[in-house]
Amino acid sequence: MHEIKKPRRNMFVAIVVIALALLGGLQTIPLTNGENGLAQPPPQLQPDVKITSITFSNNNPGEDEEITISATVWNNNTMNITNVTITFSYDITTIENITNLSIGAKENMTINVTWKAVKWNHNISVMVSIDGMPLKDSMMSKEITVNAKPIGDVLSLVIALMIVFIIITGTITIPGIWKYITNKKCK
Amino acid sequence: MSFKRDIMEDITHTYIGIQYELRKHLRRRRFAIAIILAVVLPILFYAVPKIWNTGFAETSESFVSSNLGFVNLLIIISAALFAGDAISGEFEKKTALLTFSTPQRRTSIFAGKYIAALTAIFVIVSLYYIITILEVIQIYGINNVPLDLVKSYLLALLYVCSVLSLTFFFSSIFKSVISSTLISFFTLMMILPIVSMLLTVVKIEPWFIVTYSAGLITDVFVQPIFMGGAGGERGGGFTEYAPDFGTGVWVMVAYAVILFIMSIIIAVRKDVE
Repeated sequence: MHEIKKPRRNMFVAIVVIALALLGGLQTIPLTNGENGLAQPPPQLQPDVKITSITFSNNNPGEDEEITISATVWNNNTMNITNVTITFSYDITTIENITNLSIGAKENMTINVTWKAVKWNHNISVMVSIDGMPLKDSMMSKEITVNAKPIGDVLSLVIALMIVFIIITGTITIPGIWKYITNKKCK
Repeated sequence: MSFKRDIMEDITHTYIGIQYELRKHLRRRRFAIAIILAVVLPILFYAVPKIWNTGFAETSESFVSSNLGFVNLLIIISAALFAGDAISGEFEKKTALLTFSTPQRRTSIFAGKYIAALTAIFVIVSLYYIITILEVIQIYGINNVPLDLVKSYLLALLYVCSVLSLTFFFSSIFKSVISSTLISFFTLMMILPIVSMLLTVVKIEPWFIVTYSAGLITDVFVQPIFMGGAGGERGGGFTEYAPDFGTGVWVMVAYAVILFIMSIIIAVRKDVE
C-alpha cells in the first residue's frame, strides 16, 4: 500500500480548498445579459391573475355624477390566491384600493367601486397586486369621457348686459350731473 | 329744473346722434357688406353639406356649435367696419372742429356713435342667429333647437360690447382711420389670440383676455368636456384651457365698461389740430 506523503497530502488539500473557493466565488458573481451588463433577477413564477373587463354604469357621465366602475378579475391558476389588492385609478390618481381579496382557482371575481366623475377624458385603469406586489401584465385600462356640467345661466348674462347698458347710458348724463354739482358749489 | 333740462338735453342729443349715425351706416355700403356676411356665412354651413351630400352633424348642438364658430369673426369685422373710424375719423377729417359750434357735448356725440354701432352689430348678429335657428329647424326639427342658443346669443351680444369698446378705445387713441381700424382688427384677430396661445404654452390660463372668453359663445353647447381652467395635458405636454363662465362674463363686462369710459375720456380731452 502506498502511503501519501504529508507534503503531497497538504498540497492536495490546498488544491481542493482553492477549487472550492473558486466555485463559491463564481456563484457570487452576478449574471449579466451581455448587452447592458445589468444584473438579471432570477426568474420567478407569477400567479396568472388578470383583469378581463372594465365596465361603467354610465359610459358618458356628466361632471360630478357618481358612476360605478366594475372590474372582472380572472384567476387562471389551479390554486386559490389570497391577499389580492385591486387598485382602481383614473389617469395617475387612485380612486380606491380594494384589499385582502381571495380568488378561487379558475374563478372570476367582479369588484365594484363608485367614482365621482371628473370632467375631461380619462383613462380608467385597474391593476392587480398580490402581497403588495403589482402583477406584471395584470393592468387593464379603458377610456371614459366625462361631460362638463351645462354652463352658465341666462339671468347672469341679462344682468351683465344690463350693467353694460346702464353704465353706457349713464356716461351720457355724467357731464350734466358734474356741471350741476360744480355750479352748485360755485354758488 | 335746469339740472333736469340738462340731463334731458344730453339724452336728446345722444338720441339725435344715434339716429344720424344709424342713417349713415345704412347709407354706407358697410352695412350691406356686414348683412351679406351675416347671411352667407351660416348658409354655407347648410348649403355645402347639402350640395356635396356629406350629411350634417349628428346633433343639433354640434351643428350650431360649428356654425357659430364664425360669429366671433363676424363681430370683429363688424366692429372694425362700424367703429374703426368712429372717433379717429372725426379728428382725421377735422369734423370734430364742428363740435365747438354745436350745443352738443362730445360725450353725447361719441356715446351716440357707440350706441349706433352697437345697434347695427346687434342687428347683424341677430340675423346670423336667426338664420342658424332656421337651419336647425329645417334639418333637425323645431323640437331639437338647443335652448343654450339663448345663452350663446346673450354671450355674443356681451362680446359685441367688449369688442366695440376695444375698437372705440383704439379709435380714440389714433388720429388716423387706417391705423385705428387695422390695429383694432389685428389686435382682436391676431395679437390677443397669439398672447392667449403663448400663455397656454407656459401653462398660464389667459382668463383676462377677451378673445379667450369669447370661446364661451360656442362652449355653452357643451361641446368641450372641460370648462374653466386647465382641461388636461395632451400630446407634447400641452395643457388645454377653456374659459370659466363667470370669469369670462365679467371679463367681457370689464372690457366693455372700462374701455368705453377710457375712450370717451380720451376723445373728450383730445385736441383737434
